[in-house]
Amino acid sequence: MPENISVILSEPRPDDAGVQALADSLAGRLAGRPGLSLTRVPNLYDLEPGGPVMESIRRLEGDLVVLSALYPRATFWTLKTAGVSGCLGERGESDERAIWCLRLEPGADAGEILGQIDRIASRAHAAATAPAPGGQPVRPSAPAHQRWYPVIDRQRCSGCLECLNFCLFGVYGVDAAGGLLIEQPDACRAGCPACSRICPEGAIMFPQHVDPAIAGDDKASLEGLKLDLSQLFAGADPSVMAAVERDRALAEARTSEDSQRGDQLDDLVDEMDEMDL
Amino acid sequence: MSRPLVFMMGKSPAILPTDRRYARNHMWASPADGLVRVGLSAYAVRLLGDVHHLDWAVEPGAEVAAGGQIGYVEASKATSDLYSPLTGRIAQINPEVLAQPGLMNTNLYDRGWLLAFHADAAGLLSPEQYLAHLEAAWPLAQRLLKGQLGRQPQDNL
Repeated sequence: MPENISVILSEPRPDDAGVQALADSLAGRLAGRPGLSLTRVPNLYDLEPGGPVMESIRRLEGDLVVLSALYPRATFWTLKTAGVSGCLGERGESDERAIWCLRLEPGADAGEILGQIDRIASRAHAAATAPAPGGQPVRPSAPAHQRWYPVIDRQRCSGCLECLNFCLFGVYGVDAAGGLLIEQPDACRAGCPACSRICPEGAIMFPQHVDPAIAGDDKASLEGLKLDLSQLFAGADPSVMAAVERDRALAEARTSEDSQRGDQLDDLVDEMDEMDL
Repeated sequence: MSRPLVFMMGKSPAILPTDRRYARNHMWASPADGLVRVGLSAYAVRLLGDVHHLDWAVEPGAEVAAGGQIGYVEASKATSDLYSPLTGRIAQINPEVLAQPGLMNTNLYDRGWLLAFHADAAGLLSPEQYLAHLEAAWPLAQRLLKGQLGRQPQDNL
């Protein structure tokens, strides 16, 4: 039985210019490499779970190697959330296939990543020759828009639903079994990582956030994510707190280039005007 | 002691014993041995998470004014400066809670007291008044925290 392994190369976002050259270099060196089947796909995080590209990934058989600018944990759980089966790294006891997630980071050496892929391929036991996936070995075009939504590490999530209680935007819901559900991922406010910071288990990732601890880096500490409660513990009067919040919201609205975000802040300020403080 | 009051922080109850008074900065005050002992309320501790470090900027004998900064606390979810709930003279610092800050989580209204003051606590809020203060301030407190949480590092306005 031929041992073939699928390599998925997730395109960096345009603002990940630092790794585009690395991605292109790897694509060139992986194309036609024996035992590997390369697929270039748009940025995994931006893909619609029900779209044709993710469907083609779900149909792949055998172990996967996924190259992405995201941290491996974020890549893995993005795929799992989209229904791609497998275990991170080594195969699980249930004989699920392995999904090896390698990060394309600025300054990384393409040769070193190729070496990792070769080592993985040499020990992989794919069920059969991987069928040709839906993607193309050529550089794909970018998705229509860049998404922003939470990715849940289900191994860490305890189901406490603090995120559900905390989120202002209706992103979270509960499934029929009472478990956490990402009900409206695209209702998430672009740039807001609030639920990630409040999660007691560090289970919520925003893979595109600048803070590695929020973006899914296992090595980054959550210690840096702490709130500063000094303003609350100084015993500030609610009207003082409201003024502080209003000032910040107004300043944010003035500097925002995102009209939708500006509308939300305007609504917030209007709402506060109506509070009759 | 009559039944404690309860303030619901979302789904989490913050218990407020009725045998003491409370400051707007989320500290309780209770008479003990001719002094007034103070500690953090369940509301404050709930926001902090597991307390693992406590540091005082004052020593016994220091005269402090209500609202003056007296220390610093670090916990699993948050950090905060600590402010005096009373005007008076600090008589004691609880050595037990300095050695085991987790007492603020496990026994916050008794062994988890922080400081003892020579002071008059009569001007503080009754439990009912503190509960009303929490209820009034909670929506804004939530927004303040969410705003802080949602701020991007590059948005330091």
